[in-house]
Amino acid sequence: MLENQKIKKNHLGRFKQSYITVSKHPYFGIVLTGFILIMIQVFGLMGLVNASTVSLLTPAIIYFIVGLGYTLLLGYAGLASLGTAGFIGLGTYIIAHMSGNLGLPTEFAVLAGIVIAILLGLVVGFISLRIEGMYLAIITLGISEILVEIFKKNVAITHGNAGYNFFKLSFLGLESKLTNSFFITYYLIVIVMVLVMIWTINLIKSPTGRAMLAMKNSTSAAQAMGISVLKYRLLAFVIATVIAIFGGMLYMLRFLNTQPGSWGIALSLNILAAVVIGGTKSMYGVMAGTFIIFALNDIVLKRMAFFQEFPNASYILNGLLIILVVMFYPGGIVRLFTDIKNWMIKLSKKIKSGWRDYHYGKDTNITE
Amino acid sequence: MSLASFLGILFAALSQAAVLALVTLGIVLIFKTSFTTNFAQGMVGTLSAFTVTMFQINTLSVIFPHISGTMIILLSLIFGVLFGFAIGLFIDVILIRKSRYSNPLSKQMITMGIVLFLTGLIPTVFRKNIDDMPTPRPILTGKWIFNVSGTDVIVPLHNVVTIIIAIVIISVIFIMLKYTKWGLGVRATASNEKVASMMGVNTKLITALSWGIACGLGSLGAALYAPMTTSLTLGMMVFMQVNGFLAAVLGGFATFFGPIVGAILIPIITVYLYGVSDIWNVAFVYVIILIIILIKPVGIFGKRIAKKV
Repeated sequence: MLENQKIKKNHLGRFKQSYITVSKHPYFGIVLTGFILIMIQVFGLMGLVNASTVSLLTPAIIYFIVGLGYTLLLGYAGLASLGTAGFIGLGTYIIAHMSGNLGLPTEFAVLAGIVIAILLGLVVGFISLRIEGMYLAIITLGISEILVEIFKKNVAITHGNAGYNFFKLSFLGLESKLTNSFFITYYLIVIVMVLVMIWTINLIKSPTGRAMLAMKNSTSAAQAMGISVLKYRLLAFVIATVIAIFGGMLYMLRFLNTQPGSWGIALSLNILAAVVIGGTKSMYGVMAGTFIIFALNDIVLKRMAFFQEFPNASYILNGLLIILVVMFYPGGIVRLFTDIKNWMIKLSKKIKSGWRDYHYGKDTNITE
Repeated sequence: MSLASFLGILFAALSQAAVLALVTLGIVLIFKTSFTTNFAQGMVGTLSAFTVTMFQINTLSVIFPHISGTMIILLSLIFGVLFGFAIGLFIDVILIRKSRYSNPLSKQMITMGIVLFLTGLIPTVFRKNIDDMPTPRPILTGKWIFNVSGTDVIVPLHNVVTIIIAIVIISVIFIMLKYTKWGLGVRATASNEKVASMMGVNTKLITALSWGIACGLGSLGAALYAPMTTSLTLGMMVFMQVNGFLAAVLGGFATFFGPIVGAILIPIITVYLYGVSDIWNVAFVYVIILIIILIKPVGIFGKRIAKKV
């Protein structure tokens, strides 16, 4: 019997050991997040989660994907851009034009969108070689405004301020219809999120990520070490633009409509806020930031009586949060988690030593 | 294009340019003293415009029923500017001063936080009226009609008053920058904040005053702009905000008059290109600005500053 127990313990120990090895792997958290997000919709299909909760969560996931590209730009390459919203909008309108107006297959529209994104990223990247810092932010804002103007005024292609609507779209055999309450495209979005997260982790740890970080800290020093500023700035902008436009296309595939009003300066600022609140260099930080900015309001706060009476009051909360985080937690909310963890460890040590002193009596004989 | 329609378009553009110049001057003042771009310039102005309109209708008209409408509006304008000044002081003393030596991006983020805060605050405070806010009243309701070679040119008097007020206020600010102690302090702080404070310039006071004046200018701009757009909305100043940035970059942040020139040029070019293509005119103006900035990254009147590695 004793032997039996020992074996059981061994099994448990081995399981625990392998669990620790697996959970320390960087992909573990990513896959777990993806799994949880997929389960939310699965539970939704069973009737345990509201369809509206899933559909409110979806833009947050899309903006998180875009935010990951933006992190690379801001946190690693040190380039501030305010053109993100315009690029997302461009993604939605590429699908609107190619599949809606021209009648081409959606897959082709997505490929064309990626090509356009690469070209646009190269253009913005070349601009960033001449203009830096806040000037660059304002110029990218200008580019975004040009795009929004085109969306608004070219009524023949974009249907103007009213926006472009689809009744159904199918991509790779996944069909979304306006009448659905749960969209199969949601799984695609979550899978893309997982892939982009894994890819970001690898990129950050690769020589490319290190080169970008070096460039952020000092362009001149990085150049002196033989890092090509041209190459990495272009790369950073191309990656961020491709991800933003792809995010826009995912948005279109899921929501089937787009309006120029959604892609103004406010969204760019919100994405910037999400990245800064969370912590510019941490993936999970960006996730927390995106959730706070884009989902907290609709999913959690709208259920409280005060926020039902004053639906805009949640912006007050967001604004205060941004100000507080920037002033007192410059590293982002991620720092808060590590701080709490350290504080807990400290507290548990204190309690343990206090308990020991109480249980065995205080050690008074120790001399130094 | 006949001379009459040319003049009519010019006045329409100039009244926009007047508001834009006020907003841009505020942005530049803050950039000079706090080294950050103020995203909240337009939103503070919007809050002031809401307050001015409500103050006119709910308070002043009730207290002084016998005074003429123009007088009430002028009084409420002054109140709005003082209100904006107070908000500016408050923002600087509470928020910006504490993060004085942090990087520009975090200060930018703070101003962004203010934008979000006000976006929530305005509908919460004016909740009952957000959808049907009273129409903001023009200072003078009449129209100025003059005859040019047989055709009448009609200019609303409010636009004329706006242009005059903007010219007077901007001239006063320029004279203050040149001859007063505050102006000297602004210029010293702009060139080097730490050295200026070592030399006995009270940089804290200078920065606070600059924020106050900048937000006052934004408020004045918004309060004058509201009757032109005929309705109060949350996004009424977004256009001015974005164009204010572009004007400042176009003229170059290095001088004070460069951005003003940019602010006057942008609406005029936009309005005249409307005749060429009404779909592409705004996009075309932005492209022109982009090309100018690509050729001269520091702006038309900017000076290149050597950077230490």
